[in-house]
Amino acid sequence: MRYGMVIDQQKCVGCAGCVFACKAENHTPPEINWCDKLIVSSGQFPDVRFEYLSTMCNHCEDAPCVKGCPTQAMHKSEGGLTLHEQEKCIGCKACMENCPYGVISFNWQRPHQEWQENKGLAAGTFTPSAMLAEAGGEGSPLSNPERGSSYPIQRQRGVVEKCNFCDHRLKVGLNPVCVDACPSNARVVGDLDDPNSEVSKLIRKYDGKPLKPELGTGSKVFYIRRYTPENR
Amino acid sequence: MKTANCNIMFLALSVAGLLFGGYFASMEWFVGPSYVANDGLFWTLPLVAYIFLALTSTGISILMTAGELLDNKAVKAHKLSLLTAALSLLIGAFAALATEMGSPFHVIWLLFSPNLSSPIWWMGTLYAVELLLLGFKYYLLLRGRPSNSEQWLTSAALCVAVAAALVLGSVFGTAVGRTGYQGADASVLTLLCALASGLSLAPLLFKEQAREVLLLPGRRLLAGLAVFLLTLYLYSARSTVLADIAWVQLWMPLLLLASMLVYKAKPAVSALIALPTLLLVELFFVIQGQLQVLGPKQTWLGAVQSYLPNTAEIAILIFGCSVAYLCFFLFNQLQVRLGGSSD
Repeated sequence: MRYGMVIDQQKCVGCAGCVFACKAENHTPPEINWCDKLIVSSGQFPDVRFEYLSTMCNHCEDAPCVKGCPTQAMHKSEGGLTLHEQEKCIGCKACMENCPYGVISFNWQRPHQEWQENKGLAAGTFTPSAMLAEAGGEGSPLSNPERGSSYPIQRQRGVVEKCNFCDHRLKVGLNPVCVDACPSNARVVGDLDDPNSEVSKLIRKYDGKPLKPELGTGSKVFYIRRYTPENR
Repeated sequence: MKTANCNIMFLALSVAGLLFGGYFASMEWFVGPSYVANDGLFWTLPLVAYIFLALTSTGISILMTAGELLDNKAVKAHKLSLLTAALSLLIGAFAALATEMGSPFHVIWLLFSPNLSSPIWWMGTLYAVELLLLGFKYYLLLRGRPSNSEQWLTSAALCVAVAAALVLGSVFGTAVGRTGYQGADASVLTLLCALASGLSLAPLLFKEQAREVLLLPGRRLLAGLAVFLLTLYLYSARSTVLADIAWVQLWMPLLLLASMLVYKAKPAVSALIALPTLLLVELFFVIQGQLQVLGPKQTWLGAVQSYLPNTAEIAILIFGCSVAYLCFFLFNQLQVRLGGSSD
Protein backbone atom coordinates (compact mmCIF):
# COMPACT_ATOMS: atom_id res chain seq x y z
CA MET A 1 0.00 0.00 0.00
CA ARG A 2 1.46 3.36 -1.06
CA TYR A 3 -0.71 6.42 -0.74
CA GLY A 4 -0.55 8.82 -3.63
CA MET A 5 -2.50 11.80 -4.90
CA VAL A 6 -3.46 13.08 -8.30
CA ILE A 7 -4.26 16.75 -8.92
CA ASP A 8 -6.13 17.48 -12.12
CA GLN A 9 -4.94 20.90 -13.22
CA GLN A 10 -7.85 21.42 -15.61
CA LYS A 11 -10.36 20.83 -12.82
CA CYS A 12 -8.55 22.96 -10.24
CA VAL A 13 -10.03 26.45 -10.25
CA GLY A 14 -7.50 27.94 -7.80
CA CYS A 15 -10.12 28.67 -5.14
CA ALA A 16 -7.73 27.74 -2.28
CA GLY A 17 -10.48 25.70 -0.62
CA CYS A 18 -7.90 22.99 0.02
CA VAL A 19 -5.64 25.51 1.77
CA PHE A 20 -8.36 26.66 4.16
CA ALA A 21 -9.74 23.19 4.81
CA CYS A 22 -6.22 22.00 5.67
CA LYS A 23 -5.71 24.93 7.98
CA ALA A 24 -8.91 24.20 9.89
CA GLU A 25 -8.33 20.45 10.06
CA ASN A 26 -4.70 20.57 11.09
CA HIS A 27 -4.75 23.70 13.23
CA THR A 28 -1.79 25.28 11.48
CA PRO A 29 -0.75 28.74 12.71
CA PRO A 30 -1.62 31.71 10.47
CA GLU A 31 1.88 31.92 8.99
CA ILE A 32 2.14 28.20 8.13
CA ASN A 33 0.32 26.39 5.32
CA TRP A 34 0.73 22.65 4.97
CA CYS A 35 -1.30 22.84 1.77
CA ASP A 36 -0.23 25.83 -0.28
CA LYS A 37 -0.04 27.16 -3.78
CA LEU A 38 2.65 27.88 -6.30
CA ILE A 39 1.93 30.51 -8.90
CA VAL A 40 3.97 30.00 -12.01
CA SER A 41 4.05 32.48 -14.85
CA SER A 42 6.29 31.78 -17.80
CA GLY A 43 6.89 32.59 -21.45
CA GLN A 44 7.20 35.90 -23.24
CA PHE A 45 4.43 38.23 -24.30
CA PRO A 46 2.17 37.50 -26.11
CA ASP A 47 2.80 33.81 -25.53
CA VAL A 48 2.60 33.84 -21.73
CA ARG A 49 1.36 31.16 -19.38
CA PHE A 50 -0.01 31.40 -15.87
CA GLU A 51 -0.46 28.33 -13.73
CA TYR A 52 -1.80 27.83 -10.24
CA LEU A 53 -0.25 24.72 -8.72
CA SER A 54 -1.59 23.41 -5.47
CA THR A 55 1.33 22.02 -3.46
CA MET A 56 1.96 20.12 -0.27
CA CYS A 57 4.40 17.53 1.03
CA ASN A 58 5.00 15.05 -1.78
CA HIS A 59 5.65 12.12 0.60
CA CYS A 60 8.64 11.16 -1.52
CA GLU A 61 9.68 7.52 -1.75
CA ASP A 62 13.32 8.47 -1.34
CA ALA A 63 12.63 11.47 0.87
CA PRO A 64 15.60 13.89 1.18
CA CYS A 65 14.12 15.28 4.42
CA VAL A 66 14.15 11.81 6.01
CA LYS A 67 17.74 11.24 4.93
CA GLY A 68 18.83 14.60 6.27
CA CYS A 69 17.06 14.51 9.64
CA PRO A 70 19.72 13.77 12.28
CA THR A 71 17.29 12.50 14.90
CA GLN A 72 14.83 10.43 12.84
CA ALA A 73 12.09 12.89 13.72
CA MET A 74 11.21 12.92 10.03
CA HIS A 75 10.53 9.32 9.11
CA LYS A 76 8.75 7.03 6.69
CA SER A 77 5.61 5.38 7.97
CA GLU A 78 2.81 3.01 6.96
CA GLY A 79 1.50 3.55 3.47
CA GLY A 80 4.71 5.31 2.46
CA LEU A 81 3.75 8.48 4.30
CA THR A 82 6.52 10.84 5.42
CA LEU A 83 5.65 11.80 8.97
CA HIS A 84 7.19 14.02 11.58
CA GLU A 85 7.62 13.33 15.29
CA GLN A 86 7.66 16.63 17.09
CA GLU A 87 9.22 15.29 20.31
CA LYS A 88 12.34 14.18 18.45
CA CYS A 89 12.76 17.38 16.43
CA ILE A 90 15.73 19.51 17.49
CA GLY A 91 14.97 22.39 15.13
CA CYS A 92 18.14 22.04 13.05
CA LYS A 93 16.16 22.71 9.82
CA ALA A 94 18.10 20.11 7.83
CA CYS A 95 14.80 18.79 6.43
CA MET A 96 13.89 22.27 5.18
CA GLU A 97 17.28 22.58 3.55
CA ASN A 98 17.03 19.18 1.92
CA CYS A 99 13.43 19.45 0.69
CA PRO A 100 13.58 20.52 -2.97
CA TYR A 101 9.90 21.47 -2.92
CA GLY A 102 10.04 24.00 -0.07
CA VAL A 103 7.02 22.58 1.73
CA ILE A 104 8.36 22.23 5.28
CA SER A 105 7.76 25.13 7.66
CA PHE A 106 9.39 26.13 10.92
CA ASN A 107 7.65 27.41 14.03
CA TRP A 108 9.74 30.52 14.65
CA GLN A 109 7.21 31.66 17.27
CA ARG A 110 4.98 29.75 19.63
CA PRO A 111 2.09 28.72 17.33
CA HIS A 112 -1.18 30.59 17.90
CA GLN A 113 0.45 32.86 20.48
CA GLU A 114 -1.99 35.59 19.47
CA TRP A 115 -4.59 33.67 21.51
CA GLN A 116 -2.56 34.20 24.66
CA GLU A 117 -2.97 37.97 24.52
CA ASN A 118 -4.82 39.68 27.29
CA LYS A 119 -5.90 42.77 25.43
CA GLY A 120 -9.25 43.16 23.72
CA LEU A 121 -10.02 45.36 20.72
CA ALA A 122 -12.00 47.75 22.94
CA ALA A 123 -12.78 48.03 26.63
CA GLY A 124 -15.36 45.49 27.72
CA THR A 125 -14.83 43.14 24.77
CA PHE A 126 -13.48 39.64 24.93
CA THR A 127 -9.71 39.33 25.03
CA PRO A 128 -8.19 36.47 22.99
CA SER A 129 -7.17 34.60 26.14
CA ALA A 130 -10.65 35.05 27.68
CA MET A 131 -12.19 33.82 24.44
CA LEU A 132 -9.94 30.77 24.52
CA ALA A 133 -10.86 30.07 28.14
CA GLU A 134 -14.56 30.44 27.31
CA ALA A 135 -14.63 28.45 24.08
CA GLY A 136 -12.06 25.84 25.07
CA GLY A 137 -9.55 24.31 22.69
CA GLU A 138 -5.87 23.64 22.70
CA GLY A 139 -3.82 26.67 21.73
CA SER A 140 -6.75 28.33 19.99
CA PRO A 141 -10.53 27.90 19.92
CA LEU A 142 -10.10 26.68 16.33
CA SER A 143 -8.21 23.54 17.33
CA ASN A 144 -9.50 20.22 16.06
CA PRO A 145 -9.48 17.45 18.67
CA GLU A 146 -9.50 14.74 15.97
CA ARG A 147 -6.11 15.97 14.78
CA GLY A 148 -4.69 15.07 18.17
CA SER A 149 -5.07 11.32 17.60
CA SER A 150 -1.75 11.12 15.74
CA TYR A 151 -0.04 14.51 16.00
CA PRO A 152 0.05 17.25 18.65
CA ILE A 153 -2.82 19.70 18.11
CA GLN A 154 -0.69 22.51 19.46
CA ARG A 155 2.87 22.37 18.18
CA GLN A 156 5.91 23.77 20.02
CA ARG A 157 8.09 26.68 19.13
CA GLY A 158 11.38 25.68 17.47
CA VAL A 159 10.21 22.61 15.55
CA VAL A 160 9.20 22.05 11.94
CA GLU A 161 5.83 20.89 10.65
CA LYS A 162 4.39 19.78 7.33
CA CYS A 163 1.52 17.95 5.62
CA ASN A 164 1.01 14.36 6.73
CA PHE A 165 -1.74 13.50 4.23
CA CYS A 166 -4.23 13.74 7.13
CA ASP A 167 -2.97 10.42 8.45
CA HIS A 168 -5.58 10.56 11.24
CA ARG A 169 -8.34 10.59 8.60
CA LEU A 170 -6.73 7.92 6.40
CA LYS A 171 -6.62 5.63 9.45
CA VAL A 172 -10.41 5.72 9.77
CA GLY A 173 -11.04 5.35 6.05
CA LEU A 174 -11.58 9.01 5.21
CA ASN A 175 -9.84 11.05 2.52
CA PRO A 176 -7.38 13.81 3.40
CA VAL A 177 -9.46 16.91 4.07
CA CYS A 178 -8.09 18.79 1.02
CA VAL A 179 -9.53 16.05 -1.22
CA ASP A 180 -12.98 16.24 0.35
CA ALA A 181 -12.99 20.03 0.42
CA CYS A 182 -12.18 20.48 -3.28
CA PRO A 183 -15.35 21.80 -4.96
CA SER A 184 -14.34 20.58 -8.41
CA ASN A 185 -13.04 17.13 -7.42
CA ALA A 186 -9.63 18.04 -8.76
CA ARG A 187 -7.91 15.88 -6.15
CA VAL A 188 -8.00 12.12 -5.92
CA VAL A 189 -6.21 10.02 -3.32
CA GLY A 190 -5.58 6.29 -3.47
CA ASP A 191 -3.20 3.36 -3.58
CA LEU A 192 -0.41 3.69 -6.13
CA ASP A 193 0.37 -0.03 -5.78
CA ASP A 194 -3.11 -1.00 -6.97
CA PRO A 195 -3.23 -0.74 -10.78
CA ASN A 196 -7.03 -0.53 -10.61
CA SER A 197 -7.19 2.37 -8.16
CA GLU A 198 -8.44 5.66 -9.55
CA VAL A 199 -5.12 7.38 -8.97
CA SER A 200 -3.22 4.70 -10.90
CA LYS A 201 -5.72 4.87 -13.77
CA LEU A 202 -5.54 8.67 -13.95
CA ILE A 203 -1.74 8.68 -13.89
CA ARG A 204 -1.68 6.09 -16.68
CA LYS A 205 -4.36 7.78 -18.76
CA TYR A 206 -2.94 11.29 -18.60
CA ASP A 207 0.73 10.47 -18.11
CA GLY A 208 0.78 12.10 -14.67
CA LYS A 209 4.05 13.68 -13.57
CA PRO A 210 5.23 14.81 -10.15
CA LEU A 211 7.02 18.12 -9.59
CA LYS A 212 10.76 18.07 -10.39
CA PRO A 213 10.78 14.44 -11.59
CA GLU A 214 14.41 14.85 -12.63
CA LEU A 215 15.45 14.76 -8.94
CA GLY A 216 14.36 11.14 -8.57
CA THR A 217 12.83 11.66 -5.15
CA GLY A 218 9.88 9.39 -5.97
CA SER A 219 7.34 12.09 -5.23
CA LYS A 220 3.83 10.67 -4.77
CA VAL A 221 1.77 13.72 -5.71
CA PHE A 222 1.11 13.63 -9.45
CA TYR A 223 -0.22 16.41 -11.65
CA ILE A 224 -2.29 15.63 -14.71
CA ARG A 225 -3.55 17.76 -17.58
CA ARG A 226 -1.26 20.69 -16.81
CA TYR A 227 -1.60 23.79 -18.97
CA THR A 228 1.39 22.95 -21.05
CA PRO A 229 1.24 23.50 -24.83
CA GLU A 230 0.83 19.76 -25.46
CA ASN A 231 -2.23 19.62 -23.20
CA ARG A 232 -4.08 22.52 -24.82
CA MET B 1 53.63 45.28 30.65
CA LYS B 2 52.30 45.76 27.13
CA THR B 3 51.17 42.13 26.96
CA ALA B 4 49.50 42.40 30.37
CA ASN B 5 47.56 45.49 29.24
CA CYS B 6 46.58 43.75 26.04
CA ASN B 7 45.35 40.71 28.00
CA ILE B 8 43.25 42.91 30.32
CA MET B 9 41.77 44.72 27.32
CA PHE B 10 40.88 41.43 25.61
CA LEU B 11 39.44 40.10 28.85
CA ALA B 12 37.30 43.21 29.35
CA LEU B 13 36.11 43.05 25.74
CA SER B 14 35.25 39.36 26.11
CA VAL B 15 33.25 39.93 29.28
CA ALA B 16 31.38 42.77 27.54
CA GLY B 17 30.86 40.51 24.51
CA LEU B 18 29.59 37.73 26.73
CA LEU B 19 27.04 40.03 28.35
CA PHE B 20 25.99 41.63 25.06
CA GLY B 21 25.73 38.30 23.21
CA GLY B 22 24.33 36.52 26.25
CA TYR B 23 21.42 38.96 26.33
CA PHE B 24 20.46 38.10 22.74
CA ALA B 25 21.11 34.39 23.32
CA SER B 26 18.71 34.35 26.27
CA MET B 27 16.17 36.37 24.25
CA GLU B 28 16.38 33.71 21.53
CA TRP B 29 16.03 30.86 24.03
CA PHE B 30 13.34 32.21 26.30
CA VAL B 31 11.46 35.05 24.61
CA GLY B 32 11.17 34.75 20.86
CA PRO B 33 12.98 34.88 17.54
CA SER B 34 15.31 37.81 17.06
CA TYR B 35 17.24 36.74 13.97
CA VAL B 36 16.55 37.82 10.38
CA ALA B 37 15.61 34.27 9.49
CA ASN B 38 12.51 32.93 7.77
CA ASP B 39 11.31 29.75 6.09
CA GLY B 40 13.36 30.52 2.99
CA LEU B 41 16.54 31.73 4.66
CA PHE B 42 16.96 29.82 7.88
CA TRP B 43 20.69 29.25 8.36
CA THR B 44 22.19 32.65 9.04
CA LEU B 45 25.14 34.29 10.82
CA PRO B 46 24.74 32.46 14.19
CA LEU B 47 25.23 29.14 12.40
CA VAL B 48 28.12 30.59 10.40
CA ALA B 49 29.67 31.67 13.72
CA TYR B 50 29.56 27.99 14.74
CA ILE B 51 31.09 26.91 11.42
CA PHE B 52 33.86 29.51 11.67
CA LEU B 53 34.82 28.70 15.26
CA ALA B 54 34.55 24.94 14.75
CA LEU B 55 36.67 25.05 11.60
CA THR B 56 39.32 27.23 13.27
CA SER B 57 39.43 24.79 16.16
CA THR B 58 39.71 21.91 13.69
CA GLY B 59 42.60 23.61 11.88
CA ILE B 60 44.49 24.04 15.15
CA SER B 61 43.74 20.45 16.18
CA ILE B 62 45.04 19.16 12.86
CA LEU B 63 48.21 21.24 13.20
CA MET B 64 48.77 20.08 16.76
CA THR B 65 48.07 16.38 16.22
CA ALA B 66 49.90 16.16 12.89
CA GLY B 67 52.92 17.98 14.38
CA GLU B 68 52.88 15.62 17.35
CA LEU B 69 52.66 12.51 15.21
CA LEU B 70 55.44 13.79 12.95
CA ASP B 71 57.51 14.53 16.05
CA ASN B 72 57.92 18.22 15.26
CA LYS B 73 59.74 19.82 18.19
CA ALA B 74 58.35 23.35 17.74
CA VAL B 75 54.75 22.12 17.60
CA LYS B 76 55.28 19.80 20.56
CA ALA B 77 56.73 22.69 22.57
CA HIS B 78 53.49 24.64 22.03
CA LYS B 79 51.17 21.69 22.48
CA LEU B 80 49.45 23.09 25.55
CA SER B 81 48.73 26.45 23.93
CA LEU B 82 47.41 24.82 20.76
CA LEU B 83 45.30 22.34 22.73
CA THR B 84 43.87 25.11 24.91
CA ALA B 85 43.00 27.20 21.85
CA ALA B 86 41.41 24.27 19.98
CA LEU B 87 39.34 23.30 23.02
CA SER B 88 38.25 26.90 23.76
CA LEU B 89 37.26 27.58 20.15
CA LEU B 90 35.20 24.41 20.03
CA ILE B 91 33.39 25.37 23.23
CA GLY B 92 32.71 28.81 21.69
CA ALA B 93 31.41 27.08 18.56
CA PHE B 94 28.99 24.94 20.56
CA ALA B 95 27.82 28.03 22.47
CA ALA B 96 26.93 29.74 19.17
CA LEU B 97 25.28 26.56 17.86
CA ALA B 98 23.14 26.21 20.99
CA THR B 99 21.56 29.60 20.32
CA GLU B 100 20.87 28.64 16.71
CA MET B 101 19.09 25.43 17.69
CA GLY B 102 16.74 27.06 20.13
CA SER B 103 17.92 25.14 23.18
CA PRO B 104 21.30 23.94 24.47
CA PHE B 105 19.72 20.53 25.18
CA HIS B 106 18.95 20.00 21.51
CA VAL B 107 22.68 19.69 20.81
CA ILE B 108 22.90 16.83 23.32
CA TRP B 109 19.69 15.12 22.19
CA LEU B 110 21.08 14.95 18.65
CA LEU B 111 23.72 12.44 19.75
CA PHE B 112 21.28 9.95 21.23
CA SER B 113 18.87 9.42 18.34
CA PRO B 114 21.18 8.65 15.46
CA ASN B 115 20.30 8.70 11.78
CA LEU B 116 23.43 7.46 10.09
CA SER B 117 22.40 8.79 6.69
CA SER B 118 22.24 12.35 8.00
CA PRO B 119 25.38 14.50 7.52
CA ILE B 120 24.20 16.77 10.36
CA TRP B 121 24.21 13.84 12.77
CA TRP B 122 27.76 12.99 11.74
CA MET B 123 28.80 16.62 12.07
CA GLY B 124 27.35 16.93 15.58
CA THR B 125 28.71 13.59 16.69
CA LEU B 126 32.20 14.06 15.26
CA TYR B 127 32.55 17.48 16.86
CA ALA B 128 31.24 16.14 20.18
CA VAL B 129 33.79 13.30 20.00
CA GLU B 130 36.49 15.84 19.10
CA LEU B 131 35.53 17.90 22.15
CA LEU B 132 35.81 14.83 24.39
CA LEU B 133 39.14 13.76 22.88
CA LEU B 134 40.62 17.24 23.24
CA GLY B 135 39.23 17.52 26.76
CA PHE B 136 40.74 14.19 27.77
CA LYS B 137 44.06 15.10 26.17
CA TYR B 138 44.04 18.40 28.03
CA TYR B 139 43.30 16.64 31.31
CA LEU B 140 46.22 14.24 30.82
CA LEU B 141 48.54 17.07 29.87
CA LEU B 142 47.48 19.23 32.80
CA ARG B 143 47.90 16.41 35.27
CA GLY B 144 51.31 15.68 33.78
CA ARG B 145 50.38 12.03 33.48
CA PRO B 146 52.10 10.51 30.46
CA SER B 147 49.75 7.89 29.14
CA ASN B 148 50.39 4.89 26.92
CA SER B 149 47.26 5.76 25.05
CA GLU B 150 48.47 9.26 24.12
CA GLN B 151 49.64 8.23 20.65
CA TRP B 152 46.28 6.59 20.04
CA LEU B 153 44.47 9.62 21.38
CA THR B 154 46.43 11.97 19.11
CA SER B 155 45.82 9.81 16.03
CA ALA B 156 42.10 9.58 16.86
CA ALA B 157 41.86 13.36 17.37
CA LEU B 158 43.54 13.95 13.99
CA CYS B 159 41.22 11.51 12.16
CA VAL B 160 38.11 12.95 13.83
CA ALA B 161 39.20 16.55 13.10
CA VAL B 162 39.74 15.83 9.39
CA ALA B 163 36.47 13.87 9.13
CA ALA B 164 34.53 16.60 10.97
CA ALA B 165 35.78 19.33 8.62
CA LEU B 166 34.89 17.21 5.58
CA VAL B 167 31.42 16.36 6.92
CA LEU B 168 30.75 20.02 7.66
CA GLY B 169 31.21 20.65 3.95
CA SER B 170 28.75 17.93 3.04
CA VAL B 171 26.13 19.48 5.34
CA PHE B 172 26.41 22.97 3.90
CA GLY B 173 27.14 21.84 0.35
CA THR B 174 23.42 21.13 0.15
CA ALA B 175 22.79 24.84 0.78
CA VAL B 176 25.05 26.02 -2.00
CA GLY B 177 23.81 23.30 -4.33
CA ARG B 178 20.14 23.99 -3.71
CA THR B 179 19.51 25.79 -6.95
CA GLY B 180 22.34 24.80 -9.25
CA TYR B 181 22.60 21.18 -8.05
CA GLN B 182 26.33 21.44 -7.55
CA GLY B 183 28.45 21.57 -4.43
CA ALA B 184 30.65 18.49 -4.56
CA ASP B 185 33.63 20.72 -3.83
CA ALA B 186 32.11 21.90 -0.52
CA SER B 187 33.99 19.39 1.64
CA VAL B 188 37.31 20.37 0.09
CA LEU B 189 36.46 24.01 0.78
CA THR B 190 35.65 23.44 4.47
CA LEU B 191 38.81 21.37 5.01
CA LEU B 192 40.93 24.08 3.36
CA CYS B 193 39.15 26.79 5.38
CA ALA B 194 39.84 24.84 8.59
CA LEU B 195 43.53 24.49 7.80
CA ALA B 196 43.88 28.10 6.64
CA SER B 197 42.15 29.55 9.71
CA GLY B 198 44.08 27.26 12.04
CA LEU B 199 47.39 28.20 10.48
CA SER B 200 46.48 31.91 10.48
CA LEU B 201 45.84 31.85 14.21
CA ALA B 202 48.72 29.52 15.13
CA PRO B 203 51.59 32.08 14.83
CA LEU B 204 49.91 34.10 17.58
CA LEU B 205 50.11 31.06 19.86
CA PHE B 206 53.76 30.38 19.07
CA LYS B 207 56.84 32.13 20.47
CA GLU B 208 58.41 34.39 17.85
CA GLN B 209 61.55 32.30 17.41
CA ALA B 210 59.51 29.12 16.85
CA ARG B 211 57.24 30.51 14.09
CA GLU B 212 59.60 29.46 11.32
CA VAL B 213 58.06 26.01 11.27
CA LEU B 214 54.64 27.44 10.33
CA LEU B 215 55.85 29.50 7.38
CA LEU B 216 55.80 26.88 4.64
CA PRO B 217 52.48 25.16 5.54
CA GLY B 218 50.83 28.49 6.42
CA ARG B 219 51.72 30.21 3.17
CA ARG B 220 50.96 27.12 1.08
CA LEU B 221 47.55 26.72 2.67
CA LEU B 222 46.56 30.37 2.21
CA ALA B 223 47.78 30.28 -1.39
CA GLY B 224 46.09 26.91 -1.98
CA LEU B 225 42.75 28.21 -0.70
CA ALA B 226 43.13 31.40 -2.77
CA VAL B 227 43.74 29.30 -5.92
CA PHE B 228 40.78 27.07 -5.05
CA LEU B 229 38.48 30.08 -4.61
CA LEU B 230 39.80 31.68 -7.78
CA THR B 231 39.06 28.46 -9.69
CA LEU B 232 35.51 28.43 -8.28
CA TYR B 233 35.14 32.10 -9.21
CA LEU B 234 36.26 31.50 -12.78
CA TYR B 235 34.05 28.43 -13.04
CA SER B 236 31.03 30.41 -11.76
CA ALA B 237 31.81 33.32 -14.07
CA ARG B 238 31.60 30.93 -17.01
CA SER B 239 28.41 29.30 -15.72
CA THR B 240 25.47 29.38 -18.07
CA VAL B 241 22.92 28.79 -15.30
CA LEU B 242 21.42 32.19 -14.59
CA ALA B 243 19.69 31.11 -11.38
CA ASP B 244 22.94 29.91 -9.89
CA ILE B 245 24.43 33.20 -8.74
CA ALA B 246 28.05 32.71 -7.72
CA TRP B 247 28.84 32.91 -4.04
CA VAL B 248 32.58 33.38 -4.56
CA GLN B 249 33.71 36.96 -4.98
CA LEU B 250 37.02 38.03 -6.45
CA TRP B 251 38.10 39.91 -3.32
CA MET B 252 38.14 36.67 -1.32
CA PRO B 253 41.22 35.05 -2.95
CA LEU B 254 42.89 38.46 -3.24
CA LEU B 255 42.61 39.13 0.49
CA LEU B 256 43.91 35.65 1.26
CA LEU B 257 46.90 36.31 -0.98
CA ALA B 258 47.49 39.62 0.83
CA SER B 259 47.38 37.79 4.14
CA MET B 260 49.87 35.25 2.80
CA LEU B 261 52.30 38.03 1.82
CA VAL B 262 52.53 39.41 5.39
CA TYR B 263 52.36 35.98 7.06
CA LYS B 264 56.05 36.04 8.03
CA ALA B 265 56.64 39.72 8.78
CA LYS B 266 53.33 40.61 10.45
CA PRO B 267 51.52 37.46 11.62
CA ALA B 268 48.98 39.47 13.62
CA VAL B 269 48.08 41.58 10.57
CA SER B 270 47.95 38.42 8.47
CA ALA B 271 45.51 36.85 10.94
CA LEU B 272 43.48 40.08 11.02
CA ILE B 273 43.06 39.86 7.24
CA ALA B 274 42.68 36.10 6.89
CA LEU B 275 40.25 35.30 9.72
CA PRO B 276 37.52 37.86 8.83
CA THR B 277 37.94 36.90 5.15
CA LEU B 278 37.44 33.24 6.03
CA LEU B 279 34.39 34.12 8.12
CA LEU B 280 32.94 35.98 5.12
CA VAL B 281 33.83 33.12 2.75
CA GLU B 282 31.89 30.76 5.03
CA LEU B 283 29.01 33.24 5.36
CA PHE B 284 28.64 33.70 1.60
CA PHE B 285 28.98 29.94 1.09
CA VAL B 286 26.11 29.17 3.48
CA ILE B 287 23.82 32.07 2.55
CA GLN B 288 23.93 32.23 -1.24
CA GLY B 289 21.99 29.03 -1.97
CA GLN B 290 19.25 30.02 0.45
CA LEU B 291 18.61 33.38 -1.21
CA GLN B 292 16.62 31.56 -3.89
CA VAL B 293 13.31 30.66 -2.25
CA LEU B 294 11.87 27.28 -3.20
CA GLY B 295 8.30 26.12 -3.66
CA PRO B 296 5.18 27.84 -2.39
CA LYS B 297 7.18 30.04 -0.03
CA GLN B 298 8.04 32.13 -3.09
CA THR B 299 4.47 33.42 -2.90
CA TRP B 300 5.09 34.82 0.56
CA LEU B 301 8.79 35.67 0.58
CA GLY B 302 9.49 36.44 -3.07
CA ALA B 303 11.56 34.38 -5.47
CA VAL B 304 14.86 35.88 -4.31
CA GLN B 305 15.78 37.33 -0.92
CA SER B 306 18.65 39.46 0.29
CA TYR B 307 20.50 39.09 3.57
CA LEU B 308 22.17 41.46 5.98
CA PRO B 309 22.75 40.24 9.55
CA ASN B 310 20.97 42.16 12.32
CA THR B 311 22.29 43.17 15.75
CA ALA B 312 21.12 39.95 17.42
CA GLU B 313 22.96 37.79 14.88
CA ILE B 314 26.16 39.83 15.15
CA ALA B 315 25.82 39.57 18.95
CA ILE B 316 25.80 35.76 18.68
CA LEU B 317 29.03 35.85 16.68
CA ILE B 318 30.51 38.06 19.40
CA PHE B 319 29.06 35.71 22.04
CA GLY B 320 30.76 32.66 20.49
CA CYS B 321 34.11 34.47 20.17
CA SER B 322 33.85 35.82 23.73
CA VAL B 323 33.06 32.37 25.15
CA ALA B 324 36.08 31.01 23.27
CA TYR B 325 38.41 33.75 24.54
CA LEU B 326 37.16 33.48 28.13
CA CYS B 327 37.62 29.71 28.09
CA PHE B 328 41.15 30.22 26.72
CA PHE B 329 41.86 32.69 29.52
CA LEU B 330 40.39 30.45 32.24
CA PHE B 331 42.24 27.38 30.99
CA ASN B 332 45.48 29.38 31.06
CA GLN B 333 44.75 30.51 34.64
CA LEU B 334 44.11 26.91 35.59
CA GLN B 335 47.42 25.87 34.10
CA VAL B 336 49.25 28.60 36.05
CA ARG B 337 47.52 27.57 39.29
CA LEU B 338 48.37 23.94 38.81
CA GLY B 339 51.97 24.95 38.30
CA GLY B 340 52.11 24.14 34.60
CA SER B 341 53.25 26.52 31.93
CA SER B 342 50.83 28.40 29.75
CA ASP B 343 53.50 28.47 26.99
